Amino acid sequence: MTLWIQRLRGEWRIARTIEEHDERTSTVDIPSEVTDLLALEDVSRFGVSNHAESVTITPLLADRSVVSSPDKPFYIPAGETVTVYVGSPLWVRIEAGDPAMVLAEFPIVRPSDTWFGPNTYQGELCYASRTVCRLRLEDVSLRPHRAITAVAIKNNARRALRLERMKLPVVYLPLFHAHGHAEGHVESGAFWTSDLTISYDEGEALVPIEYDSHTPKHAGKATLVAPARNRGEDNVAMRMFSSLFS
Amino acid sequence: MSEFLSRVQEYLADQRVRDVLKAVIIVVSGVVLSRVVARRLHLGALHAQQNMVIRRLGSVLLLIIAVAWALSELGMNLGVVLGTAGVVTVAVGFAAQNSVSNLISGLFLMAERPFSVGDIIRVGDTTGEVLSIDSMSVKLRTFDNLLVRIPNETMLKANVINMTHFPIRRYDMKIGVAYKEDIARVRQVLFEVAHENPLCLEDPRPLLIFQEYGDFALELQFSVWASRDNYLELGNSMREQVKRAFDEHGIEIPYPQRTVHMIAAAAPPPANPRPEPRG
Repeated sequence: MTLWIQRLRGEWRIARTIEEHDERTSTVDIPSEVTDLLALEDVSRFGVSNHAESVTITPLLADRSVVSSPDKPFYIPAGETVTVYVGSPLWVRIEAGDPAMVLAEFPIVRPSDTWFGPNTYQGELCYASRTVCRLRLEDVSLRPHRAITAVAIKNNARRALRLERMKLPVVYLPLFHAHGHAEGHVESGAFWTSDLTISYDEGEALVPIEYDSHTPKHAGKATLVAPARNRGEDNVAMRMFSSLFS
Repeated sequence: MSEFLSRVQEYLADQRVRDVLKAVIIVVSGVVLSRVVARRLHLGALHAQQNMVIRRLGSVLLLIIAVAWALSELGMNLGVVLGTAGVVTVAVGFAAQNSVSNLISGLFLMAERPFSVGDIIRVGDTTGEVLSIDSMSVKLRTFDNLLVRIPNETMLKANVINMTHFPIRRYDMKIGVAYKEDIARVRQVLFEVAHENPLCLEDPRPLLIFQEYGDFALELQFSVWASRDNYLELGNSMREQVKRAFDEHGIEIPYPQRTVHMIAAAAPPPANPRPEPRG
């Protein structure tokens, strides 16, 4: 994605062009040369009365839940706790002035829509993550336009839990930026969300989820970049798995 | 002033005047109360249309009670009044059968709620957005901006298709490809197009059905899902992208054609044969 932000008297102009839709390779460029923004297709104009010239670009998480799948479904035996690492796409928010005024908000790479629910009339519209759930952190590809969530799944049921698809409620999660290296990686500066803990009990379609605003364990030293979009309760019960039992 | 007051006192001393005054106060109070109910009554557990019906019924009931009370204060025999009203009701009912049927059908529609204001519905050949659900009819706005009024009785009897009731919808595309094409390759191209289109839901997954061996093409149905808000945009973009992908991959979409086989036979007779000479 190439992004332009232009300040003129009485207005801000924001334009962007998308050269490719592959989440694995996309980057955000902010070129320095001036272009006639009005000639571009995707340009927005914002009329303002103040003279502020500062602009803030903030990454944040998606505005809907994100659904992710492992490359192959796997089972969590009864009584086991497994941590999976899930990637979700990042959005960008552009604010101007002081106090900050939100001008625009859009995904860095527009993810596909998907449906998550037991049938086609009960459920929720979500985004589909193009990356798979990983069991080992060293297998996770750290990208600047993606955030990683460590999800600990405790299977308290008496039967194995089959994991085929999982919905990540990113709207309840804050976003952090890690300063150091993540375990098993040489790159630094990855984005992380708070850790999630899910406890699955037999016969329950809704699973309780615990999350908090603390720094994620695997990120090391990290700074809060954006608070959660929805400040819900710390423990929420929701439908997270599409396939429950083997 | 004192003369005026004494005159007023004289009038009020008369029982009939007092009764008329009482009746007027009762009717006015009833009208005011019924208007308050018509505007303010709201039961949170009910839908907007159901609240509207309750408000209307409530205000009419209050008016009837106020008028009956006022008539009884004036000394009228309510039994006679009710009997007359009953006869009039039967007569009016016969004359206004359709209207009453529409009214009652409207109550059933409001209770059942197969659609709401803002939904896109199809009734017979008419498709449009529901503008209002009234006591006698439903008003639709068609996509070419026409107003259609459908009596409630018709709505109750007809098959009503609510196209925006569920959050997601399936878009079916009929695609014909030439007989020479490899179906597996066509499937791969189609699924790639669906995968690249962000409006196409990843789940439920797209579906390809090989329907039949057509007269001049292999008939396929490619079904993709979208949210109801993006349904039209997905359909347009998918058709365009499938055509472009087929062109890029050299997949032919044939048009109707007939193969004619010429069979060699005896020479045809001349067009204008000479007549046989006589004699």
